[in-house]
Amino acid sequence: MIAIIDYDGGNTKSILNVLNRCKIEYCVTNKESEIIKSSKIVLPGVSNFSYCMNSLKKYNLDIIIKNQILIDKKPYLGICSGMQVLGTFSEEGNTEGLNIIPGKIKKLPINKSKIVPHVGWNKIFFKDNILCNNILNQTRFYFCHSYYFEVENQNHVLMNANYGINFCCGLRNDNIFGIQFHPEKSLLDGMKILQNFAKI
Amino acid sequence: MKLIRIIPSLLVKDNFLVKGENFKKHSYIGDVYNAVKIFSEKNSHEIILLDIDARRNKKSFNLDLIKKIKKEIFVPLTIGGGIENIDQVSAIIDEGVEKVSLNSNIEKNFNLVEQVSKKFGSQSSIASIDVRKIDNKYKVYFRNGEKFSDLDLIKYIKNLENAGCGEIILTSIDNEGKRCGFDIELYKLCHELVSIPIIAHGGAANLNSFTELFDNTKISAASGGSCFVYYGKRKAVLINYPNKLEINELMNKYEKN
Repeated sequence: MIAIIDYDGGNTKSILNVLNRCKIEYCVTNKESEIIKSSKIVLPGVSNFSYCMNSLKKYNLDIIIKNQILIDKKPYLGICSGMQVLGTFSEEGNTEGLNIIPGKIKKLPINKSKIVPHVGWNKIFFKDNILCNNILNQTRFYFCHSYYFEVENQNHVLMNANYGINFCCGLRNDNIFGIQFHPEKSLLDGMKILQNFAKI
Repeated sequence: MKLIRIIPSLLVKDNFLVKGENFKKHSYIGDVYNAVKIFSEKNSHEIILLDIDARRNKKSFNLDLIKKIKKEIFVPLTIGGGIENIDQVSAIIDEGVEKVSLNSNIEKNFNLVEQVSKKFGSQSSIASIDVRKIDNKYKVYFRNGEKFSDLDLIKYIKNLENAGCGEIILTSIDNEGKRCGFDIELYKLCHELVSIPIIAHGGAANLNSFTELFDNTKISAASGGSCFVYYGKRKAVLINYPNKLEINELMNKYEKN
């Protein structure tokens, strides 16, 4: 059973539709007792980093999640801002993150030819990893974000994408995964990512 | 480098798909659910669904229809039509809809744009602007092109960006449904005003219309209606979208440029 973390404003319905389609068992919760019973954790993303952190703290979820993934070593998948909150600090609202994977969340650079947010189907370049099983390198996924994760330790980087700059769009530290793009909005390849995570 | 998006924009009336010309003469196309499902299966980049009667009927988009659609499509969905308050936006977003498009109701309640951006993030807050060219100037119209507004288009676009709007769908009423190509001049006028994406709409005839727009402006996203629901000069109804290879080739081309 995967616990989909429910915090105010987090748009979880898209991901639930995909999990239903893939027949992956889940519960949607913000309760410690249910999260403890789950075997894995998914934190879906809303746009705003500080909003996300504040909501997690409001329900004590920052501490619960840390215990579950750092001590109990449960597989964790953070999507979009669910990945970004793993970092140390974000320029978005100048907020501290969970500080699980060292790195800073920075605004994508705007220059004359660039449009921010980065919206659309962009290619990911990855080194072999369990999330990308059965997925071709340079497959396109749906992105929608204005900030990116500047990872300190390159060993944590699983996937990169390019939008004016090269940036990390997938990372891993042991049992902890994060992806910047939206698998729940990325057709069959997106489903594969979620299925691969469910199989871990 | 451009990350292009080619987006079917579909009109809904009485829960059916329709299509017209210059915002008038709408004719029946078919079932919304089936059409949207086909676009998702054809790997369409996104889908925009606008209820053109919702405001007149004093309703927002049919939530049951959204529920049914969201179970079958796995690409980003934009919903618009008749949305006048934040509760309606919440109800739509709660169904897993990614973006909500506001139009006529911004006129009397500009605050709504900011409310949506604050609560759900800029990426969910879309504004639609409909313009007509009169005496060589672009004029903003509300209410399906029926109500003239003396808003200055350029100021209006900038104000929307400042209010946290994440994308703007800019429609040329003159070109809509005519399959005559996009109004390149309009998009040249607007493409450098803001750093958020402007989605061009109105006049797409085929893939060449899109490449003409992408080649001549800084716009990277555009939507079409007729070209994705009709086939041939006699306008036989056929739900279609460029195949994956064609689209990929185009995407690669614009990425390199």
